[in-house]
Amino acid sequence: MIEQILAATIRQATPLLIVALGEIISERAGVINIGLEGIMILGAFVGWIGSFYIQSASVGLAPWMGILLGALSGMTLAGLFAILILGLKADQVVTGTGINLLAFGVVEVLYRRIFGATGKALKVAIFQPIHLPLLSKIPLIGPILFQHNLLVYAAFIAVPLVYFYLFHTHHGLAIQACGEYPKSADTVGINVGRLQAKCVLFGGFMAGIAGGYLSLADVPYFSTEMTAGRGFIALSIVIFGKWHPVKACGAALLFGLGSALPDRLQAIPDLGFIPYQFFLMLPYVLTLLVLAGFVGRASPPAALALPYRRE
Amino acid sequence: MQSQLLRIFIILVTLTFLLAGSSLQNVHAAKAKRIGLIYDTGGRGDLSFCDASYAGARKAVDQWQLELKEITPGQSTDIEFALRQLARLKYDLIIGVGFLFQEPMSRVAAEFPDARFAIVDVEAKGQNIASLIFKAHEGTYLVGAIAALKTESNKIGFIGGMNIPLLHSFEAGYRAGAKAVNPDVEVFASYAGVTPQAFSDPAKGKELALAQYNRGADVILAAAGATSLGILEAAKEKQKYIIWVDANGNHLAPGLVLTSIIKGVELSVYQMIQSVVEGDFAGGTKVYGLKEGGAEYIVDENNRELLSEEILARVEALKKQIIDGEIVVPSERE
Repeated sequence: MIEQILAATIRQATPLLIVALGEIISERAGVINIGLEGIMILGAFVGWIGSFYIQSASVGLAPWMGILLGALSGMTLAGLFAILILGLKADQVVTGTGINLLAFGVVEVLYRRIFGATGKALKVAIFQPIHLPLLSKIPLIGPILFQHNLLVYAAFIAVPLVYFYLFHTHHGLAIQACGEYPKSADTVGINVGRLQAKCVLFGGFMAGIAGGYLSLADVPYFSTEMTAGRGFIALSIVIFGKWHPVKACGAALLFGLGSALPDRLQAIPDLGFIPYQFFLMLPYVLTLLVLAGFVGRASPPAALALPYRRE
Repeated sequence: MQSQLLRIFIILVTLTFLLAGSSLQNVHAAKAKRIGLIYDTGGRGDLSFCDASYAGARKAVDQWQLELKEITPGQSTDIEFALRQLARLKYDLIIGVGFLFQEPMSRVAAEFPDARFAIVDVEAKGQNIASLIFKAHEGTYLVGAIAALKTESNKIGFIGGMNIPLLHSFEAGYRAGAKAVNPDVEVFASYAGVTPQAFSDPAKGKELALAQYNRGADVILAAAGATSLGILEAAKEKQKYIIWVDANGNHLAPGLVLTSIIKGVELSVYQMIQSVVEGDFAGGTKVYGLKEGGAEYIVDENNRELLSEEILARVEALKKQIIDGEIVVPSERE
């Protein structure tokens, strides 16, 4: 029971973590991207459709090509976002909302045009769980940690990498400078706009992968609203994790648990006296508490969401 | 320059919405009777109401050489507009699929007393509206019995989409049917959520199903729209049984889909159009229970081997008792 809950926690935390890692980089550079939800659905759709058409040529290659296409589509949409907010200095929050609306509209139209009226559940080739040799045999820990698909392992390996990059490399520090005090970053010769654009593209890339995870790793199907708010939850994970990759990983796991636990508890009739909606609510309450300053202080990068103009 | 580009962006976004929204085109007058079919915002491809309504309409349209106009509203606010538009164009019958039509249809029907309307799956007020209602719980009663006869662990599951009374009636029928043939059976029930999103989250469906299968359930009734696709995936992973709802899903995983329970949506829409063709349309509520062909479990080449003669005989006996009124299936949970 416990190992099932924890394994499900990891499965459900993974897409959240992937998006959050990208968004941390982006927000550390001073750009908040509200459009993650839309980028995810585009990634899910493009990834799925990619795998759908490629699987006839190669079943083994299909999910890989799919996830790559999904990531690239996410990056493309993030590129549009970057042009609007960095090139044209449009408001980041409003533009991000526009990106969401745009992505859901485009995906809906394309899905209906291509598949809508077929009335069939179309399946695609997806990533299969890989049981790591030896490790997956360890009692308790094996089934929890080492019986997942490749994207799960990749997401958790990315956590220390992003941490190291952000805090211990020249680039990472330059990114932070852009988000804290772009003017001084500029004076030491950092091209603020270009660096921010790269970070936004990275965020879009990651959100595209996370979308692809939903349609290429969780289930082999696509539905036009399948992101189900995960892009927004990732935004709150970034805040909850205080813009720190390792803490955000913890936050993603907490949200994953907040989702996995009620799924299981509902199947236990004896626990019917606790409405499961209570558990559904918990992660959001925690986020609100963090935002309100009750659970530690969350201080965002000083120049977050402020467009930088050279004088 | 900057504001101009921003303006272009806004226009693009708006255009996308319009494209996604309803489109009325090619409305040309013809001698043949014209049938308007307006879908729920989900539209065709839902493997459920919309597809079934279309199938019924298609059959009637082909049979009597009618003209069919399909509309998929982009958002619920477009529904009233679509209804009014077709009424103004004097369509002979305007069918709305789903509970979203309830209020808009009553309003529009009052404005156009000469027009004829039909609404699927919910009752709407108006003397020129025919409401097609289904006793889905009578159908789930039968598959509940099948599940309880088939289970080896004595544990079966139910997964609904959004936590709403309509699905509670599914659950109530399922439970009652299971208990009727196997009083010791334990029934797990889960719902995917409390918003309409609960019908379109396959990842959630898979997790809920894995939870129930891991708790020992070996049959799950999946009544959760697109979320059911995730339940199907879990069934394949665990090699356990699943029961499909609203469309024939037996082919989705032969050997694992125990049966499918379909509502008589297709039949009801067909009969509705028939009444217009034959000139005896009447408003009011038409209830489709087992007796009227409003629910049916499907046995075909994909699942015949899963259901033994004894099980089928037992279920047919129950069906007869329901039709004869000897059994009254509860539509509410205890």
